[in-house]
Amino acid sequence: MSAALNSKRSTKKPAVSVRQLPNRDQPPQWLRSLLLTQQVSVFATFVLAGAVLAVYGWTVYAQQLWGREYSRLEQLRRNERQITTNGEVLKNQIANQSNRPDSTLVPQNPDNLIFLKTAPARPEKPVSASSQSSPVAPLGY
Amino acid sequence: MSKRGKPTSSMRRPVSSSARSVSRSTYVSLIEQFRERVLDARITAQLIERFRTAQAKPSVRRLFLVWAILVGATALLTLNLVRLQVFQSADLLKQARAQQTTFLRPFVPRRPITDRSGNVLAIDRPVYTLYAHPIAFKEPRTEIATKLSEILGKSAGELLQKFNSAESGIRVEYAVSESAADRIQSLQLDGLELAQQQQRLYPQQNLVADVVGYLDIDRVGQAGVEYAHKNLLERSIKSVRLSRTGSGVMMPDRLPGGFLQMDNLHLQLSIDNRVQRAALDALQPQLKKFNAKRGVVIAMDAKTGELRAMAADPSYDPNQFYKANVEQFKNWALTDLYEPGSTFKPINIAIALEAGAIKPDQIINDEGAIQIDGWPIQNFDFSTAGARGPSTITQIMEHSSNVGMVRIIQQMTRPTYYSWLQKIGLGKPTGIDLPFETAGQLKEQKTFTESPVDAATSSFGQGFSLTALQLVQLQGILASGGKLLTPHVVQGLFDERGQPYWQANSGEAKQVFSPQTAQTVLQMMESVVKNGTGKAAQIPNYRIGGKTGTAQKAGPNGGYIEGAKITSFVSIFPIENPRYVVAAVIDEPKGEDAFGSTVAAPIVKAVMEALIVADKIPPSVTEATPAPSPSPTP
Repeated sequence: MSAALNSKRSTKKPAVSVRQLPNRDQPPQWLRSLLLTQQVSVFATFVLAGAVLAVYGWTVYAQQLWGREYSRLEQLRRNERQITTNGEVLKNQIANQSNRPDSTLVPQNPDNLIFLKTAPARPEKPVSASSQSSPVAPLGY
Repeated sequence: MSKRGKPTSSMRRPVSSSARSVSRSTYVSLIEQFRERVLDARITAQLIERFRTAQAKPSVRRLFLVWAILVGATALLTLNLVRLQVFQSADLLKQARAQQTTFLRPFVPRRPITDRSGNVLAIDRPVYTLYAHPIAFKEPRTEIATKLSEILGKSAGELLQKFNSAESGIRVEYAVSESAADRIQSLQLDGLELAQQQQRLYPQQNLVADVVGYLDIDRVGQAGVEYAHKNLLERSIKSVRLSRTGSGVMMPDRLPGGFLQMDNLHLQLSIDNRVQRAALDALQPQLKKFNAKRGVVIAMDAKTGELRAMAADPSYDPNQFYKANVEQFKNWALTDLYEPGSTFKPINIAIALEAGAIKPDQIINDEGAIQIDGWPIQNFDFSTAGARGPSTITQIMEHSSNVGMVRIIQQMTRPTYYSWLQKIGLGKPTGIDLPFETAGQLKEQKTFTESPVDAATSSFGQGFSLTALQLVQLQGILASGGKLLTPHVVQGLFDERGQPYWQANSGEAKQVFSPQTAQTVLQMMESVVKNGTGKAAQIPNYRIGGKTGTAQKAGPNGGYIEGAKITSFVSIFPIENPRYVVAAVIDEPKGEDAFGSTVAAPIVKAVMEALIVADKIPPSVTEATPAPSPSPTP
């Protein structure tokens, strides 16, 4: 506004043609948008750079982590194998030992078995309404 | 350029002089002290003064010099870059790859084989071959020998002798265990090399060798399941190229998908380890007692045809197959033919019943001894029992009467009889999923139908041959209610949770006899165990049917070997709902009392007891059976 007034005042004085000064307070629209773009892109660049660094670091770290976990898995598989093998060898040894004359292990035979007859199903009791009517209140917690 | 340099330097000066005022004064005092103490000469003082007040003057020459150095350095670096990237790149790339990549060859074992309850019968384990290269030793040989001797359990002298035998490439030990290999590795000795390979371990040793088979030195299956099911057992080993970091940790960036998902499938057999062991434990003492050549016990599930046990003796230890006699590698229960003898009689009776030639309650005249086509045929006990006269079919079975059987078979025409023998699969293999099975032998239709003596001898199980397994299969027809089952040992591929991944199916069983016929014959067989020759197989409270067999042994050149016989016993139980067929066949037992009833029946009894325990089969008859309690009224 003040700039407008100034320009009006200057036209009254005839001496020299005065060049209109660019409005300092309000930069042109295109510049403003460019500036905004710059700010946003700077911010975005930093964010993206940070993200890239983080992702890259993660990929390197994850690979190392994988390597360690893989060797652990190998160890576990190996332990599993050894446990299975040793268990089976032991079973065979025990079974072979049970055949020795001084062994106290005896093979199971039908005389050792007890077969229980399944009891007939009990008749279903008719559920009376009264027996279910009062739910047991919790005595306390 | 010089203009630009000046104002900047002049502008900086006041700022820096004020900032450095304190430090400069200390410098000055220090220099003063120095001058006073050491360099008291005036010239030196002037020199120092000059240095102190010296000011760099911009000069084109100097600037050019700096520019030239920088540009020259850049040019040199560029040249080096070209040298590395263009001329040496291939070579360097190769070196880098060698350092950074590692060929990861995961331990992919051949699939384990387990029995029906998960007991491992065959499993792979990694072992190492230890090589020594004395040329690369950094320590004295004696020292390395003593260190290794502790781990390997060999004497240091022996190892030293090996080290002295060659400069490199000495195989010190063939199968070093994983833990021992780790200890050798941790010694960090130069000149030792450990090469991994796989070894098949059979923890049960000779127990199931005839079923499982073995792998030869090249890891190729040579017998049993290892041979017949190699497609199910083998897994391909894919080596994977992986990057490695400086510290040796592997990087998974080039890992193919599914690399870690190694399937944990195992091949499950229908064999029951406990029953198998019981069978072998019963078989061995009997073979010893009767000084027999060999023996086999087979137990088959009468509903599915699965074999629960197939034990043979003598057998071999597949872990040390190279020590075994080549003869033992074959499973003679499926490869060797023999004449079944009396154990075949129940089948003949079933044929006669099914063909309508006889009635279950028919009376047959048993003369004790007859002549057929000029050949004498008599009962085995003719000298003591003589002619038994009119007998029921059951009695003929109980006494195992040969003449009675001839008379029964004579009730039908020979072509009919022959077509029935073909129908039950005589002369054809059983179709078991084990390798090298031999088909039985049956005479040509023409000779059979024309000669009356062939049909007569076939009636008591001689004049044709089959394998021990086929005998079990034929008895399985009676046990399964008339179905011709295919015996098999493989149940399928199962994962670690016991879920099936692939299951063997043996097709639809062919109905050969009617269930009524089968049940009638079973009752006759029960009577054999109750009252006849099969008493040795009785188990209290269980209904068991059986039939003994003592047959002459056919020689390789025709005719029978003098004094050589094959005794056998087959049994089906429980009669009311048959679940198992158990047979024991003993080759060439010696002694006067060597019969199916004395040699084979006790073995079958032991196996049946093991089956009762393993499958918890309840007794057929309860002692002091109380009347079934009336059904409760609601």
